[in-house]
Amino acid sequence: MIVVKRKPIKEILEFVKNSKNILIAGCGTCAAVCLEGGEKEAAEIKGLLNLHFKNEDKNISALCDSAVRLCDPEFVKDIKLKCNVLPDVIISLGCGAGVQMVSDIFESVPVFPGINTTFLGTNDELGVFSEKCQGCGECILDKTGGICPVSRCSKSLLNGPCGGSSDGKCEVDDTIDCAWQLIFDRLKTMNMLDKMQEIIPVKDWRTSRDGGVRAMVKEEAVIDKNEE
Amino acid sequence: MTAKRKNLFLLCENSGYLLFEKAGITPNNSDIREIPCAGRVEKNELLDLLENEYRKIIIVSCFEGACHYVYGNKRCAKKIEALKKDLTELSLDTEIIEFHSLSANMLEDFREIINKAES
Repeated sequence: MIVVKRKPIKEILEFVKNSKNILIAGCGTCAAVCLEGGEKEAAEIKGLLNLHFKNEDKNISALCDSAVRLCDPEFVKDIKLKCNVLPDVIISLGCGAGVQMVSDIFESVPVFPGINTTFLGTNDELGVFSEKCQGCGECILDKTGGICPVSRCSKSLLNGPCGGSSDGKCEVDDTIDCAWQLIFDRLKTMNMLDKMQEIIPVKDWRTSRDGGVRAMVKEEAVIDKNEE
Repeated sequence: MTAKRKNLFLLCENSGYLLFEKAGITPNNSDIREIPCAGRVEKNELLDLLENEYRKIIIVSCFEGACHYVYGNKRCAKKIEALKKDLTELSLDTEIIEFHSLSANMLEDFREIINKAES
């Protein structure tokens, strides 16, 4: 999942302070699981802003709506269809992708991010998230016991730990587990320690951010509507 | 002229509401709602009530370490703390929400809270 964190409410207020008609758009997927940008959190931001405007005697109202996913045009179009009047400004609580999709659909309306997109990770327990993937485009988890050295080793080393690994912890911060210690322990548990002997070749980083903006097309799902 | 807004008491059925029943007070300026657990209270619901209906919300949960649902009172306390932080950032009065952890035998403390809200 994409892990997100809500921006400070004062920063959100700065985005909307010159607007009369404000829409807070929540996202029901990753942002909702993070307890930062779902339906409830959209209603919470709406409530905070409205209390603030009321306290300032300003005739401004914030409304909120939410979609299953803000990164899918169908769901965002639904939000737009429900607007009797286009808002002056939208605060999107989806990840960076969601903000851009909302902006694409609403076109003329300024869309601001209400949350910061942080990383791809897991929900380890309620309210606790950790980074597990960097979307490098060429997964090597089959070779590393299901533990990703690209995202979980501070140096993204592919063939064993650096000299800074000590007592299973990383030299960058002793609260971070050494990914290669984890990989060794996991392979040992799986009786697959021979995998440690395999040399992982130089990684092709063109599938990662080094290759520029990425796109993916699943051919079987795409229909050419102009084709006879 | 609009009527003066009331307070709202959200009382946990395992502590606060038992105290309310024992106290024998009939509040004039407050509405009372019995809730299954303070941990169930959501920030957006509180803000909605404050925006549209009530001037102040007072939550009474179980005593620390004695929540019927184990962590409900702690969860509620943390939510209220986070909400007050946001209210402070927006220069809003943080006293519009009160949170108290009381056991069902802390009648005097409860009376003090409700009398203060009623005054």
